[in-house]
Amino acid sequence: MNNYKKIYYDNIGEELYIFEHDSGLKCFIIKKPGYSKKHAAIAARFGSVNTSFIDPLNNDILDVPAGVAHFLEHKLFEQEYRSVMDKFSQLGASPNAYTGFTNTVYLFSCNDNFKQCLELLLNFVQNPFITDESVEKEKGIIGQEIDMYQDDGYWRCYFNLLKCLYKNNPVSIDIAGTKESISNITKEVLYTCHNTFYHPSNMMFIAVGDVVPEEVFETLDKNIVAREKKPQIQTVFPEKLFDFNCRLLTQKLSVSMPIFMIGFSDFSEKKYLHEDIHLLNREAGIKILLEIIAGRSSDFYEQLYSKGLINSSYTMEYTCEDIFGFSIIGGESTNPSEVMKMFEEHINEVKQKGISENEFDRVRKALYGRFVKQFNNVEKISHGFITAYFKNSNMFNNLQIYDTININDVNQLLDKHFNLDRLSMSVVEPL
Amino acid sequence: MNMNFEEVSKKIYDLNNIEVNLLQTDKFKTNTIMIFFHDDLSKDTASINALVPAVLRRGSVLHPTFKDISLKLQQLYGASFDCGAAKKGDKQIIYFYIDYPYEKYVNAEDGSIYRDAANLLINLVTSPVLENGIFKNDYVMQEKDILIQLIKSRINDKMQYAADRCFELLCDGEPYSICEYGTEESVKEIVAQNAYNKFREIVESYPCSIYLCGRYTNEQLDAMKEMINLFPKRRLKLVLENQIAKPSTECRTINEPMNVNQTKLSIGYYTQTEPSSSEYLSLVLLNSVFGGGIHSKLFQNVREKEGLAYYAFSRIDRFKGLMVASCGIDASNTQKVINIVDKQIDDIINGNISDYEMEASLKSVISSLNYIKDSQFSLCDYYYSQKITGSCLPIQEFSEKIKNVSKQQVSEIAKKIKKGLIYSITPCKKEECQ
Repeated sequence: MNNYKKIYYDNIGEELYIFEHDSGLKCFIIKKPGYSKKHAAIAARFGSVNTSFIDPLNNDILDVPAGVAHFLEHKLFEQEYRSVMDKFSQLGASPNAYTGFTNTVYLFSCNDNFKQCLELLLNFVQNPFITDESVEKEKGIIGQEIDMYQDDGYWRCYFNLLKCLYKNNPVSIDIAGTKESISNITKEVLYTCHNTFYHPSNMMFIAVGDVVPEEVFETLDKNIVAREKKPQIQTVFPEKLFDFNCRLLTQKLSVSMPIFMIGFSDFSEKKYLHEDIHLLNREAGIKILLEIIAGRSSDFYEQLYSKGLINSSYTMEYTCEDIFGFSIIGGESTNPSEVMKMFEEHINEVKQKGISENEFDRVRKALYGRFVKQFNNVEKISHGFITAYFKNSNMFNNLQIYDTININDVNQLLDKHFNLDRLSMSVVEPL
Repeated sequence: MNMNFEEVSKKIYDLNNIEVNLLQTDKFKTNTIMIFFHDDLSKDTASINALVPAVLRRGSVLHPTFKDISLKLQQLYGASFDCGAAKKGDKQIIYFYIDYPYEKYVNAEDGSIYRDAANLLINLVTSPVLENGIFKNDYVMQEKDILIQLIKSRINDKMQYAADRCFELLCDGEPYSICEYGTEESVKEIVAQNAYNKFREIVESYPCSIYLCGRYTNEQLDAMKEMINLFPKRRLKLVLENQIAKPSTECRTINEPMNVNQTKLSIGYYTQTEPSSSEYLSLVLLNSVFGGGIHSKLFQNVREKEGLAYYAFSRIDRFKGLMVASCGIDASNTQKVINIVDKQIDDIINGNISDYEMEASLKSVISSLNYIKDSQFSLCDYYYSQKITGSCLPIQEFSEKIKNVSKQQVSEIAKKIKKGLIYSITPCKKEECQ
């Protein structure tokens, strides 16, 4: 095995190995000497937003029930030999999987037996074994999962906010779907989705840990069945993807005090957000802005905290993909409307004043440091790498981005993203 | 590159009744400093012990406001600082930590971040910003409100709450039944003066350990000695030994109706096993077989075989010798699930443990032990918890020893455990709820 590339990121002491399989599967390894945990993940570009696509067999548009990507994730864990989980357990490994908006990730962590675990992972992800019976049983388990999230104040608050932020965007559909939507899922639908989206050229692989890259690539080469690339799959998205919906949604649940989330959503005249600015640059810029505007070092935070309007549950985040982007501040508050009012006033002030060179540089360095910290943890590395990959980028590009981003870039984003016409709040109130 | 991955905690000195421990390792991008104090958990002091770190977090003489602290942390290349209160058995822990990127990885001057970070942390612990010689009244009042919110918000995570509540109810009347933040009533009684007095008592007398994890030079370890001089002269308070919980005479059933969709069932057990005893190793394995992962009997039977739950697991509280089995289910299946859970314990007692279950359980425990070595926070917590329970098994030795536990020993320990409580949060209509 010698047809792979190695990149050494000297400034943070990390090594990245890259290999492309004949099938188009892109494979990456980040070596972590001295770590006990070895981690591998394979991910498909198929998530909760892909509910409508062009059927490769007849070129018709095919609509599938909400929650199908997540359902398929569950079903792949069941094979003819019964449970994949048992096999991993036998090897002392813990498998897991998660379905996001735009991708589904299958992963395991282990201490020993990395090679066997890897073979197992590649095998089950490529070979669905789905029966009518097992689909019916799974509806019970996923039904319980949906119920669990229905009771989860933060989860409800989050999805309600997404509903406010976008009118027609599939990002606001619950990842697991609803009990009703999943009742329409059949074995056939699952196989169609697998055939369409789980071709290696629509997937990627990453391993992180104290592993031997040559051996890992060799195992991959032997265990990926497809040998030819396939053309890119067309997902069909609704018209007017970026249209804003509404300012406020409120729900009552069994929680101790109100939970709020306030967010801005991205908008583009173009078809996809990356046509305006690369997603990783956008992400870095908006994260810097959020930290300056609403982070712990901001006057806004200090005011909210000293007025008793927020507590230690307060958080901020920014997420973007090609068809959506949103920043969120949120937590528990005795008076969410007051927080919203103060936030609006604060945004107006910041926009008038602009960002100072001094605060920009301090925060830029801090975020660089936090990015470096991520490399302490194999799962965080893997997750970060996968997320960047599906934005058509390499996680390590962040090093350069945080190094070279300048205040003009950030000031432009300030105007564009923090647009008060696209500001919403979601509140979950106690019963 | 000559790298060091030994990851064993070594006590390097004892100064002014503060024990300083070092976990020297090269593999992380960051260095971490953790400071732990502990006290007997009691209903009279739990709230005030929890409030003190919350007030200290607000500002020191050097960095008097949140904003000042955050600005400093940003200047230290995104260092993070936090503190809080936790409970380990009958003990209440007050902890403070800071972690910061190793200088080389952020192009900073060697040792420059360490000095400032350590100083920031120790100043926050020892030199709070004061007003008329005591804590700032504003800070105390605001933190009281937030502590009450924290106490109330425990019910928001119902999965966690159901397990925690089950543990607490198993120890009715004992210190362990108290939440680590105390009660709403006792928070309300606190004023700035007694909070300040409590602060003095903590830094002057509570047993204290410091853990340094990462890359440290001898000069840096010496510099820490100077910083420890910022503490007042300390005289150690006597704290009680941790006691495991004694079984009640019969198994109780407690339902707490809430307006939820899903029933959260938690079944609690007294294991009657001391954390420092050799039998504890068997208990760890028993928990793994019973509900410690996807290989376990609970997951396999409640979820995989019957499809009755999305999550089903068990965990132990080693400090109190308790175990809880938890799952989220449909209310109509409650009795059915209880029967399945009971049967798993009976099966273990009767030696119905397959070779697969035994092997997978052991591997899972050993992997978890090894993974501790991949996190600075977990490493510090592991060695500090060992100290609290009066054992001193390095991770490596722990995993060597547990390999010798037999199926027979797992069955034996299962015979010793006693079911004490069936606790559940059950769905109800709004008007029926409390």
